[in-house]
Amino acid sequence: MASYAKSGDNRYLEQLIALYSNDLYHYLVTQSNTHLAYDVSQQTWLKVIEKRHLYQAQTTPKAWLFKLARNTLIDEYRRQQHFVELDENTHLPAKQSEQSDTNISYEAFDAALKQLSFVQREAITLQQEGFSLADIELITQSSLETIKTRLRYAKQNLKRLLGANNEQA
Amino acid sequence: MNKPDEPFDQKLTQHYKERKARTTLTSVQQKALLNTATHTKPKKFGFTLQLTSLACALGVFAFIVFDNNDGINHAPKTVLNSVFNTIDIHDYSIIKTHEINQAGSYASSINEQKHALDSQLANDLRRHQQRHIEYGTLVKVDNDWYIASCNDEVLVQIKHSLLSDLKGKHAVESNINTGDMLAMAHNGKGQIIALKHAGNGVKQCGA
Repeated sequence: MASYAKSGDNRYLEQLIALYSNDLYHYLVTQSNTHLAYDVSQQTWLKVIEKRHLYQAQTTPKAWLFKLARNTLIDEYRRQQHFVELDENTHLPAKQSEQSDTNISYEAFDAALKQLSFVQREAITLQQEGFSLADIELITQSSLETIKTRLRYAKQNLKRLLGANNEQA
Repeated sequence: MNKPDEPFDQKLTQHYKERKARTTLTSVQQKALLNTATHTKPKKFGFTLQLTSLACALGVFAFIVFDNNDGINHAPKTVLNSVFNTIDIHDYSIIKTHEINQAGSYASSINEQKHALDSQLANDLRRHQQRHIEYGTLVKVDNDWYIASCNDEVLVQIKHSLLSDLKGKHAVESNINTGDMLAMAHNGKGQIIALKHAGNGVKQCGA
């Protein structure tokens, strides 16, 4: 990223796309839908081209990229007048099923993830994506404590939704 | 942050990986993305456009402000300084305008500054047409002349068209300067037919 920011050489851009495009797309699909995710993904890469001079080497390229993508997605939501659920402390009701955490299906996990609020789903997704808390702070422009709270609630809610109430967060 | 010893976190990571593996760009999408990105030039003109727009907006703003300061008829509060260069049209109730219109005929009009003065206006009109010599001070000269009439609160605006017509007829005395007391000669219709210095007998209004 630093090389691309310095030179603007398309070879570096191609490397960045090869490295991160799927990670970025998955994050955007998780926070929206496949159609919007692809659209925002394209917009984000165009922003990388336009704003490469703003990249600072002390930031990890992936975190900077995700920050651009997140802002683009939120702008797109605002443009569409789609109001994002930003509730920090949502408690979702426990799922009434016999399913235990040992045999959670992919579909059940996917459905549970989709039920989380925007910010909780985002926090857990970014954490699973391998970002540090500092990176998540940068991407979401939220405080450390806020992020920890979101992660805690996200996990509690996932456990409830997947019928794993016996687990402690 | 991760706690691999906790079974739920392990399940979470496992499901996340599976979900991610299933949610990828198709090869066609990835190629399209590459193509779009690598064939796009940075839009530097965006910033330039913003600067240009700002400059244009400032230009228009400045034009409006300065244009209004120059035109007595456009600004609600006009003009210059207190020594005859300044005319504040709010000091006057009525502005009489005399000109030769585009059809070549004499035209005069009176602009009311206060709508409540309709009856007063009718009286002034009558006086305007009856008077043969009207005195006033030349207070401003641009394309037109502005004469503060000794008839209280009346500003006489003589437009460039009438001035040219009168000068062509040698009906305007030479060496008239801002601040001079003038005599405006009217014909029986109230039209100004000559402009000259008021003379030694009339140095100021009421004299």
